[in-house]
Amino acid sequence: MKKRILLLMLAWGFIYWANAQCDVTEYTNKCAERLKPQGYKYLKSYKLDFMNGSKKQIIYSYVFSNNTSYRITLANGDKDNKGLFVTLLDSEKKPVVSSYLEKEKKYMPAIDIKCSRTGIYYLAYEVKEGKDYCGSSVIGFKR
Amino acid sequence: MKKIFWLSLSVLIVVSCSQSDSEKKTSKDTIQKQTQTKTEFKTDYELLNAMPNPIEITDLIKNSGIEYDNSLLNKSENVEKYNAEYQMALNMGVYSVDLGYTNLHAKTQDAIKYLDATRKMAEGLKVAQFFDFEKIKKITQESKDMNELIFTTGLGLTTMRQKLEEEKRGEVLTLMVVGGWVESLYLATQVAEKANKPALNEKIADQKLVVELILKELEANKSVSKHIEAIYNDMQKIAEGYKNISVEASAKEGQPAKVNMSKEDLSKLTQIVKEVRSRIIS
Repeated sequence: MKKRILLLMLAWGFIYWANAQCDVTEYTNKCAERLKPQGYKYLKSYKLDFMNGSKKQIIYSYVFSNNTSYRITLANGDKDNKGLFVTLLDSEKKPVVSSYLEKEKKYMPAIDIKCSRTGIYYLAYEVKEGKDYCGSSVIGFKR
Repeated sequence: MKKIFWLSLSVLIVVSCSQSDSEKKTSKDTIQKQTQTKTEFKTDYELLNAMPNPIEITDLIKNSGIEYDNSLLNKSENVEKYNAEYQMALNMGVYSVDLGYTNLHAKTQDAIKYLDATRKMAEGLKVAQFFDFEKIKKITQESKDMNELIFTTGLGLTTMRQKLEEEKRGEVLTLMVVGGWVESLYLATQVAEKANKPALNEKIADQKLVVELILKELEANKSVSKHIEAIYNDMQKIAEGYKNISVEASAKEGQPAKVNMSKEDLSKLTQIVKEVRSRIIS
């Protein structure tokens, strides 16, 4: 019994330690840099902590406006963004676009959207491969 | 070269996000993150996260070509009046929008005043430690890159909001969001009354969706306190102001939407928003 409790405590301690390691400051700055080339302004940032793999998907929603361009940027510990991607879903939760290109097996660092109708979008973040369960995403906009 | 690099790295998509009935059921359809605070305030954090950042409106105001007018803003000296937590939360939202407005117009003197007002509200709410005021002040004074200023300010506000969520202070967060939204709508309607700018009119009309989201959040909490009930009633008045206003999306992508908002509708809404905002800052 004592052993079990000790094991549980150790497991909890490990999970706590792993979570505490998800510091996204550097990734958020990297994402913000990716807004600059075409003059996108910062809107929102999301910490993506997949809890060491125990969280399979992180979903956020946002009201996008008509006639506005948005850029969703992503960053994790890998210089090529490997493993981390976002799928954009419409108001009916139908996938619209993904930053992971299935054919090329490529993880894009950003998605650009030109919204033509105001409404709610869903951003579903996932980790496909690798063991980097910590990342960041920033949304920028321009008219 | 940079442009080519970015075009090759990013995926450009034109998206239509329909405003269907299912959209109005957002919080029902998705995983609910409802938690209860000590005061029994039920917060739908997902809904709050979906709320548009008011900087989209202030940026549009700036781009409308209407001259900067600091008489529209809540006086920074008013900070002394806000002692109760709910007042500080509402006016934290108000001042952060005013700060964005001054920043976008590169009005350094005013920006620093509003930065100080925002700091005082944040200190009162015990969230000032998550906002790097000194760094923002330095960037403002040195008139550095505008985007860096917007990023640093925005990131500070995002961190503050995330901490409020972590600490389960949903009521404070909700009031901050409501205060900021009302202020941005107030600025937009005031400017729209002076000049007929189609993009701004459309943005104002689009806010009908946002007031519906706010009402959804407050509906479940109106009995929590008299302050929340008062804010709920005010939001209902704004929703009433939107009764005859609507936006019809264009059938063709890239075409402007049809905004159904007469001059009278705008004037009525402007007056209601002015009254609500006046109660918030008083």
